[in-house]
Amino acid sequence: MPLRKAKQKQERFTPFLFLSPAILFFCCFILFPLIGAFGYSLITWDFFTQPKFVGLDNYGKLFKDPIALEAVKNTFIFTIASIVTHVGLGLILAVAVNRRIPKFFAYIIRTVFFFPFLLSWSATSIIWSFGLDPTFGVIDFYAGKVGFPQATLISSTWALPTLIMIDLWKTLGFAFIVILAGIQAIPSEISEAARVDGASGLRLFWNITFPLCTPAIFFVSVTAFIGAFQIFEPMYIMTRGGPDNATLSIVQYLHMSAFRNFDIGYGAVISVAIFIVVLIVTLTQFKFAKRWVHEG
Amino acid sequence: MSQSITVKAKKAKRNFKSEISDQVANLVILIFAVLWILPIVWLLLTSISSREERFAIPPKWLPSKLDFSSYTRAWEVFPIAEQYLNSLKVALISTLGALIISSLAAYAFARLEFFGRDTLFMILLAGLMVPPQLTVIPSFVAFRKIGIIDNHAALFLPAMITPLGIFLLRQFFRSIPKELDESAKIDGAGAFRIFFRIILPLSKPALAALGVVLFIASWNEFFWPNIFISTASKMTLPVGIASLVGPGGHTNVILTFASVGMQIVPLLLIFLFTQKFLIQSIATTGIRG
Repeated sequence: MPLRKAKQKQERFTPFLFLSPAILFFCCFILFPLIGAFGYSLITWDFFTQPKFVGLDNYGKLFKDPIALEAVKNTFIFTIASIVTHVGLGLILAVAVNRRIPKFFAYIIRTVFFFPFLLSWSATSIIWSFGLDPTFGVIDFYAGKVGFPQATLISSTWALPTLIMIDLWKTLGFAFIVILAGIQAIPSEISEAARVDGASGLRLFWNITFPLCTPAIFFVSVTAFIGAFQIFEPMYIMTRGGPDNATLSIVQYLHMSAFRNFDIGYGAVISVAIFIVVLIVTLTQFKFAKRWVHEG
Repeated sequence: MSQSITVKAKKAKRNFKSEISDQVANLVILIFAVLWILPIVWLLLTSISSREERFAIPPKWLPSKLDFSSYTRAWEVFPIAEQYLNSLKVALISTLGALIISSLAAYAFARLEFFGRDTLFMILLAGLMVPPQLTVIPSFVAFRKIGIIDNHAALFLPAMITPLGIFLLRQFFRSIPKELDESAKIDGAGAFRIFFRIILPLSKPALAALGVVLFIASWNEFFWPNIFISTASKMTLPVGIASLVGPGGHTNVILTFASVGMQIVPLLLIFLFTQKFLIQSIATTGIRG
């Protein structure tokens, strides 16, 4: 029966038709570049002259490079601070909004804390680098009035903490709404029952709210880690990694090596290092998400 | 009797106490919220202040008269209109492309039976772990070879493959009752008919949520377009605007204020009207941009 056979053949082909665009784009923009990056990490090349195979030399260079070490240190500090502040403040805000408060008040809070998340890093960086400008910045002016350090973006001590604060200002809204969604997903019978048993305030928080929204907190921690670890824009736009590499991040160092110094091989090595860290964190997330965390 | 009165009194006292602490908490949050939004308010107010009042010390918050000249000047001096259109074009094409490619693939993974389905799905999903920082160097070399450096295709083509989008849509498609396609199948509908007539129309909420999140991500993207676009008139808004500041000094501060104002105000208006939808989309997709 040729007709039936033709139809069967057509059906066997159908999944491929649905999948071919995704597979094509996956290969072109994820798989091949992934392989390419490992390949480039084994050569020295400047985009123009003949590439030269050097084996693992670039990797050796990375471990002995004091600037890379500086970038790793800065990124590490930025990442830890980012996770702690996002989870902490996000949790406080979410709990605060989850009480019986006027609707309008809740709207204002959501708007104020969430809107900066929608801004681009460029707009955020401009607002803050002008606000903190020592000659005309309004934030710098009031910081001086209340005795806080001034001109922080050009101080090698204060530049990194300032960028951490700006990142918190911009991204807190994400942690806030994800944790809030987590809290609101807790069945109301559970917290009602606890209240009937006399739990309130902090006890209710530690025994009910916190353990039951750990999936949300865990998710926020992982995304905060990945986002902070790949941080690039605020340093690049506001401080260019300075002063004295005090705010240089790993991704910025990658950008500098590959697209400023045209050291393709070295840039590729840094990108491979970033990839390995992201890979480990994401796999850990997959592995432990079920074990650590209460899933409602 | 007396015992129950003391219990009642205790309860009333506790209620009164928690009422007070509630009000105090509200006040603290309110102060915090005002401080949080002040930088944006300052930028917008300064951008419409007159020359004399702009950077007065101590700062003058409310301008005595409105002056929009910095906006008209910025509009003339910087290619803002072009950059707006570039951002819009890139974000729209990226989003549409990603939605089409992801929904087609997600349908195959959710509904069709074929050899190696789950393995292939895991491979595509693993693409989630490949950051743009890893693919940027090989992509730059390849794009230079085929001549799409300084071209918008270099921005929207790579944005069209989103493993997370495929994953989320597959989840959603699987939640649609299978009986719907079964009965269509009996009526003689093929896979494509079922996809376009049943699955897609029922998935509008999921497609909208994913679409808006992808659009925002593309609209705000900096790392990639900053590397691939070098001509000012081809830049997207974030890249164009970032070139106006730096640690060594700023090019014309007040015009930059106005440029940022032009970027913020439309966004703020859209946000005020679509707040619930936007926040829900981001909370459900979990994409941090």
